[in-house]
Amino acid sequence: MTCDIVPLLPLGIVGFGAIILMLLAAFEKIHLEVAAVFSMGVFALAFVMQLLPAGPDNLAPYTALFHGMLVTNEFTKVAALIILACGFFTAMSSTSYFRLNSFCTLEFYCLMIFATFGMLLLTMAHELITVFISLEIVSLSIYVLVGYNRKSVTSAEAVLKYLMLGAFAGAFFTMGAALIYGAVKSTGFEAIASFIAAKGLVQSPALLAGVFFILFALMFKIAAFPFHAWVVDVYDGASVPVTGFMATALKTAIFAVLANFLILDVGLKDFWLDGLFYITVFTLFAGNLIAIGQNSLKRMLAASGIVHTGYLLIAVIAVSSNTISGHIILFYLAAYAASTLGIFAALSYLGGKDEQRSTFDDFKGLAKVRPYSAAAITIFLLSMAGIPPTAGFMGKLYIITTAFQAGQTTLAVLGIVSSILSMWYYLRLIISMYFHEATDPFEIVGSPFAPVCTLILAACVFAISLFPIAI
Amino acid sequence: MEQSAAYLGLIPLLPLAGATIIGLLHLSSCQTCKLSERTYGILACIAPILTFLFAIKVFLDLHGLPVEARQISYQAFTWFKVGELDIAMGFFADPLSSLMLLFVTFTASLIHIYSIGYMAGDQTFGKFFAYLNLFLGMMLILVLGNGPVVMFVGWEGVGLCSYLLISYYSEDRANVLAGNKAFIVNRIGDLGFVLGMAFLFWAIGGSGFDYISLKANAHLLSSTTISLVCLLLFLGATGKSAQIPLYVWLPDAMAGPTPVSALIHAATMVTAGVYMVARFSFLYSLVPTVGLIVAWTGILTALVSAIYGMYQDDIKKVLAYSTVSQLGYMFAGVGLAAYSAGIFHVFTHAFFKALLFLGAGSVIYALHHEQNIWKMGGLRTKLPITYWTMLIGALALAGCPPFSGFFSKDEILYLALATGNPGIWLIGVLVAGMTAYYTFRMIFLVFHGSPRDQGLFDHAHEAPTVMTVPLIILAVGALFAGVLNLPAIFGGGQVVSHWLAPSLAELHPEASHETEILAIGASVVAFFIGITIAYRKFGSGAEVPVFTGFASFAYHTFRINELYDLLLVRPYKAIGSAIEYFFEPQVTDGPVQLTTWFYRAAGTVFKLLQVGYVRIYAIYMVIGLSLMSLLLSQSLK
Repeated sequence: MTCDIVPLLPLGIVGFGAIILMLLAAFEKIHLEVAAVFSMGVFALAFVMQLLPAGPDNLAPYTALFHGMLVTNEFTKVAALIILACGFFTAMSSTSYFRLNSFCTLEFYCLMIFATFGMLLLTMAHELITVFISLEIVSLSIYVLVGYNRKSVTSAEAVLKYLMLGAFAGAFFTMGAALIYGAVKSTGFEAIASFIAAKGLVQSPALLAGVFFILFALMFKIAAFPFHAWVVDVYDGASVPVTGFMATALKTAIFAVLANFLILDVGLKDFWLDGLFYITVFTLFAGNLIAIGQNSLKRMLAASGIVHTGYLLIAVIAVSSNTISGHIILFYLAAYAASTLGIFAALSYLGGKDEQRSTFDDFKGLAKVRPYSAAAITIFLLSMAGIPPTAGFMGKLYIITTAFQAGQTTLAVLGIVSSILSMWYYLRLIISMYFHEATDPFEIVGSPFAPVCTLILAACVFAISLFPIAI
Repeated sequence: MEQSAAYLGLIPLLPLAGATIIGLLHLSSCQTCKLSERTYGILACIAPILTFLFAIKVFLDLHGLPVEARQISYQAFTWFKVGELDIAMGFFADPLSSLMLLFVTFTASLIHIYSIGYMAGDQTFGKFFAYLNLFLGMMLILVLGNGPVVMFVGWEGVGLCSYLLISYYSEDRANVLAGNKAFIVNRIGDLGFVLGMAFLFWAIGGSGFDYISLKANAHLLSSTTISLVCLLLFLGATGKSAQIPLYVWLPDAMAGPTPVSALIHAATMVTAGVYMVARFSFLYSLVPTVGLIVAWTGILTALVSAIYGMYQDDIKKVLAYSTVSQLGYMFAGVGLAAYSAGIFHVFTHAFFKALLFLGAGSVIYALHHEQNIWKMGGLRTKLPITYWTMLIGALALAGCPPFSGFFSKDEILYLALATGNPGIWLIGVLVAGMTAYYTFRMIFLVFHGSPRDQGLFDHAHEAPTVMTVPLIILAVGALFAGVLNLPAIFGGGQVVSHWLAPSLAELHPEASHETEILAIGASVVAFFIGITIAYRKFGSGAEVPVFTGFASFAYHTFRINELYDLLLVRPYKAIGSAIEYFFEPQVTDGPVQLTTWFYRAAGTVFKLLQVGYVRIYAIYMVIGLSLMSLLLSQSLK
């Protein structure tokens, strides 16, 4: 029950940074790109702080802070690192995007940092009310970010859809929390775990329903089937940097919560195994089939995000109470984040004004005109499809190997099948880029930040694949 | 006791970093502002020279240790770990790898320096040096890898680099095809290597898959497994080191720039096979039968390629076949469990073959890329440095007594006799005579007599200093390298053999002094016969010959390429067309199209389900929730 300051430092830096930027924005004293660099600095500083060793208790399963409301361990630490890196690269590539699209104001970056603050809190939350509050911090910031382009109708439509369905899911979460409190007389994860260990899950209908509702709310946030339908429209409506940020950082945070919640008790997970199994299978295939039908790149990437959720769910199912499988979830999240952010960074400078280039056909012949950009995008796509030697391949390899080890042979095989299916739409873009003549000159105006960001992320895709983790 | 030394990891890293930096510089500047050749040249030479210094450090460090403990290693990181397969990216130096390291980095440094002069004016100067550095880096990974898997990285890497460099002048399709050929033929060998590695892992890999563990567990293997593993690994070696049946790529590899040929033939790539066999000596020494197969393959390759070498008219092809032939000797050596003799020949060969190739490069450079020896002649006055250095190289190659090649070749032949293989010895002596003949045929035709093409002759000029200095240094090496392993009969101490002893599982056959004298005598006689015939025929000018009968057959390398084409390439292509024109459209295409149609249809359905109305999405969620509740209630019962 120590209250060590070091694990909270990144959280403090991010929160403080957001407030300073907010104050500066009130007086409109700084330029937009200065704000972008400022937020990059905040993320980078927090990232470095996050790397600091979190005290001698590090070897225990987790270190409790604030009487168990927050915990930190290696898992939350790495999840936070991924989120901060996502924030950094989003801020970096957004500068190029906002040179072409002029709807940005300083508050954009404030909201992004606030959202990151919520996400960091979310990874560490170990108590239902804390989870709810941080979830709302994230959601509210993201709602505004999705609808930031007020002149765009699709953007407005997206934010409304997201808000309504998000409220629907949020209601279930609070309902679930209330039911659990009714049963356990506490909202702390620790207490829930000891309650289940003592009395069993099935004995208390209120607890059962509560956990059920909470899982449902989390499934909505990660866009698992059948709660996935919003994701395509919302990703399509949001602007490119926001979509990239949502797809990566948000997903990382929610998966951290989900993993923390599910490993509370071995019985808890085993109980949901059947349900999760079907959800996973349908998530994999629904995502793939939706992606096959799309013509717009952003919609395709949104749908492919559903598929990646499916893979992560395989890993969640294969998580046993040992902490090792957590590495696999994080590895996959990092690999996925690097490639997804990479594509969105590339889109933010290649998309052109008002995102005029958005379909597969718009990128015909890119390789002839911009060979390096096309090569980088190809690397990201191959990583998402799981082709060696990229990070995506290693991630899938680890996930499928653990699934086999956990006895989930069906899931492992279906995972491989789905990975083959996903080639359809990933290769489609590569074909457009490489096997057609260019009609578009693909002129790039804007800051060099986004191209540099793409380059770094392309290197990351290979670097992450070399990072060794033990299965 | 194993010593740990992090700088081992630096050795391959340096050239790889060099390759990356030069490559990036070249990529970023090739279209806009060209960097000067001097910049690239200096950048490129840093890595090889530094690695050479490190190689000396490795040698000194090992030397400082007691004989049994001469091992240093460094584990960079765990590369991957799946099931029992736990592979570390680790580097390992023992006397064997340190010797390889020394001459590889030494010759490579000289070749890099020489290339600055030879490649001057090339359009893609930077690209060339990036490849050259990469080549060296891969070779160093191969030599320093602490187990077969890491070695395989380098093994494949040098294959890739050879492809890139052989087809370097890619405007000419023939060069690209030569690169393809080298790559594809090597792949066949690689398959053998991979299979051998897999069998080895299957048998004893579970308890450690690096050389030290493998050596410790080798006694657990049945002799059938060892034979199988050794044969498969040897198939890999025949690919890399150009032995029967996979030697066909090496002569074509002459399509690359001459320094590349020198690098491939002297320091990297082709020596890999011999090194690998010596590295696995703890396995090969257990199965003498396989060793005999290796030795006979080697000596027959030596014979066949020496025959080809006698009839070639391209200066580089003569040298190429001489390499194949000398590699044959090396395999004869390692096959007969005379590993140190084989490796010693690799060592001396590196000096004189690099020298000969660089000399040939100097001639070609002087004659504006003329390679036909029948158009040369009398160049001795025009290119004095090249002449004298090449003469030393030729004497070493031909096995003239005080020169390095004599000692190493003689060692192998003597051991062939001592281990009771007179057949191998006899062929070896014959090949020695033929070597002397074709080497001096080349020297006489190029440097002696009168010019055959006056125009070319008049424009010939000696190469710049940056090219001649490496020649002179290598000539010194070719002269004296043999002294290092002077056999006892000449009062020497066999320094190299003793140095290598801890790394190798060697047999030391006992033989009388008479045998040794017989072996030496026969080699010397063969050398003199060979050189005399060459002098008689070509010493004072000769006309372009017209080959008939056997000579024509040998000139066309026994039509082996055509035979392979007929037996392997064409059937393969036939299978390919059968698949293209029959199987794919008639048999497999239907089901594939059906599957795609099914998924496309399903995709359309799912796309339609994305109606875009929030109420519908909410209904999906409610339906999903209901179904999950149903499932839950079912499982509660």
